[in-house]
Amino acid sequence: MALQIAGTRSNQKYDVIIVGSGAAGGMTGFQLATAGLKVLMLEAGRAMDPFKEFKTMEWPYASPEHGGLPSTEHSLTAAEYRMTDRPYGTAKAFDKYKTVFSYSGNRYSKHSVVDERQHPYTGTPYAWVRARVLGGKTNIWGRVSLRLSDYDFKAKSRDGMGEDWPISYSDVSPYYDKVDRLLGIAGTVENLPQLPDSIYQRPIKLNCGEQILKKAIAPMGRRLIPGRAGVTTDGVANKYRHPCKGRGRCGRGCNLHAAFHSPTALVLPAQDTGNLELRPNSTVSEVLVDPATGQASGVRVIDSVTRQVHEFRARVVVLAASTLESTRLMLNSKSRQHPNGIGNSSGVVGHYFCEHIMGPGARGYLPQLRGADVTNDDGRPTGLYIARFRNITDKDKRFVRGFGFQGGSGCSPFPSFAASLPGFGASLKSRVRELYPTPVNLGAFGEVLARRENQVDLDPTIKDAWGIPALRFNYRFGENELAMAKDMSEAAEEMLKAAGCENISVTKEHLPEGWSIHELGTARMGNDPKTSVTNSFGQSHDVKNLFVVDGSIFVSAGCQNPTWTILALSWRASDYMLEEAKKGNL
Amino acid sequence: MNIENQASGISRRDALKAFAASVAALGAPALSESAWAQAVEVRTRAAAAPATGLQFLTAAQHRAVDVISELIIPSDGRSPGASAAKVADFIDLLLSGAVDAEQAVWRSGLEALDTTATTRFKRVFVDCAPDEQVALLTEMSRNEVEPKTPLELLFVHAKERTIQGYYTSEIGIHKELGYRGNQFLNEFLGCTHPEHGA
Repeated sequence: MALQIAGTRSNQKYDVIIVGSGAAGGMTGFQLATAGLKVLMLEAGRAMDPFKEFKTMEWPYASPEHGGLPSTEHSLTAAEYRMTDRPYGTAKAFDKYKTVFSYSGNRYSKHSVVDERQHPYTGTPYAWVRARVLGGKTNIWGRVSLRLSDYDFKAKSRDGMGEDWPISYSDVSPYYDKVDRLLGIAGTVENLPQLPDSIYQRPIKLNCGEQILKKAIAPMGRRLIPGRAGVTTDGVANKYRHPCKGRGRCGRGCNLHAAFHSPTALVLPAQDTGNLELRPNSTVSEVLVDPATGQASGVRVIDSVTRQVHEFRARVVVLAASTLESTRLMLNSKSRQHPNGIGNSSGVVGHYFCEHIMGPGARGYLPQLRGADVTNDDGRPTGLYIARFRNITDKDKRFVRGFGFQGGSGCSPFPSFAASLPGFGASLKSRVRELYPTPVNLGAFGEVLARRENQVDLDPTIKDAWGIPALRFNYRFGENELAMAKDMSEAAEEMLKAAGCENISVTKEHLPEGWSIHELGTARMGNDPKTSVTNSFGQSHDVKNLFVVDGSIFVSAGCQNPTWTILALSWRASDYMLEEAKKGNL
Repeated sequence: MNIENQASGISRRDALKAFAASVAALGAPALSESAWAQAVEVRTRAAAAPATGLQFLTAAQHRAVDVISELIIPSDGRSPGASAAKVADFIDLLLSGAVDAEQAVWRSGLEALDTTATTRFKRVFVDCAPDEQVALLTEMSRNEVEPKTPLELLFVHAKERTIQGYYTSEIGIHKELGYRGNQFLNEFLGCTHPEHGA
């Protein structure tokens, strides 16, 4: 079915306005529309066609750039993030390009990610990947779908750092179950206390190299498991989605929609209820406030294309614009009642910014697989996962918290190891062929502690293309993260050695801040309105009809990829909104 | 992260360093006989079919890049090499959109290559005999881990871009690697070998 696009009927009053159509907005919109509320979903980007635009199976040689960007477009590199002045998009070095993308920009994601020129930000170096399009980053996400545990929700109780969440695993677990059943997730039951199991569909299997590594590290007490992916392998009750067919390249967008993408998994089904209107090209600049009550009355929208300003009214406003965009919107919503930005009487909005540090890892070759038959090793939505093993049963002296590894082995679409082989000529070519089935790589995702001093605010002078103040970063990895990063590379090397890998190359440097695309925590939940922004349902302590349902309400980052938790928490918030509405409180 | 960006996590320089240690004992890599034969073939073909519609390279530079790429990944008994895969065309397109620093490496490197060839062999690079071309490239490749001179930098860039262009070409993916993915599977089979622990 085609998307039904809402008009500019500024007079109509909706029950709920949702800002954003990604994981959090999609889930909230689906739940509330299904329950019968009248929902207006505002998406800053365009309404891309989820059935036409994904080039899931395109071969690289189908384009003269072999899948790369055309010569007039540029995506930022790790070195450029560190060396170039902010805002990156307008740095002189990139004058020759028509468009500058974040590092994530490529031929297949550029329908989703923003042009840095139109979306400037300032302050400390940060690789900020933003998708402004129907579905947001769920169109290009990495699909790794993990649950948090009480090692995360109650981490402060274990090591004294940061804050505990106001909820525990038992509060979220039923919602994780619901998300598993609604959206489908592939994985295996492992009974790991630090990584609770989901309700799984047919799992992804390990290939030869991964199996060898698993066996080798088991004596170290480390658990290598098949990756857990937010992909339906057995199918779900959703006419827009089909079971996974193992084609790979899921990060381009899966045109079978086996991978979870918000537009087909949530937004279209929500529209099918007849209760949700979608308005794309709607950049929300401000949450409007009723001058009498100080409650939210709606939002001001700048049409992303025409630049016309519209106001939409609703009983409840839900922010689901992604962690930093929701935060920016709150800070920019200043009024007499809320001079520091809406919902920010605590002054906590923008603070306790956290994410995952990544980059350190190792790669090498498994001699057992040298010259083996070429196998199809990427015909699945993710590779291996090694569950966190630090500060679970032991207490590490170097750092608190921990990290998990993602990685994989086998024949990849592109032999990225080839450029690291020495020499040239026939010997190089035959060496690439011989080693093609053998590479194995590990890369860690480590918890960045939520510290008050890691923070974003509004830049006093720089504005985006719609005149909205740009975000200013004051965010750096700290000592705990750097100590952890050192251990990540050493642990990766140790495991590859245990598997008998040859030519192990270790990456010690971490990638620039932001690289994980897991920004979290800038409007954290809590019981105390003085030290937190929302309650455990994402409801603003200050403004009862304002909810925040994306990653900004996380209290700590864990080391698990956050999407599945965002989906569970936004479903939980939706149920709370419905209960409160029933009680007449909203 | 998505699959198109997955190579970015590992520093190439680190990887090269690890390899440098492992191959130090072997000395400089030697070219096989077939690579020599191929160098001759490339030279003939490149001279016979000048490229048109170039974005960045001059026709003469394009011929040089064609020869260099084929020396890096030559045709062999299994599959055609970089020249047949039109890697020089890919490199030309890629360079037209490259940052200034990378464009400068190629410009000054290609210029230095002809200067060196002329000084030593009285001919520009593409007109040199195959053994002379191989000798020049071998020399350029001796400092892969820490390239400093324009020629050493050119080698590292040319190798990286040749690999990028070749293994994303139809020849590289299908004929050379025999890649088996990007097809509809009912189930990913995974490892079935008891000796691997399955």
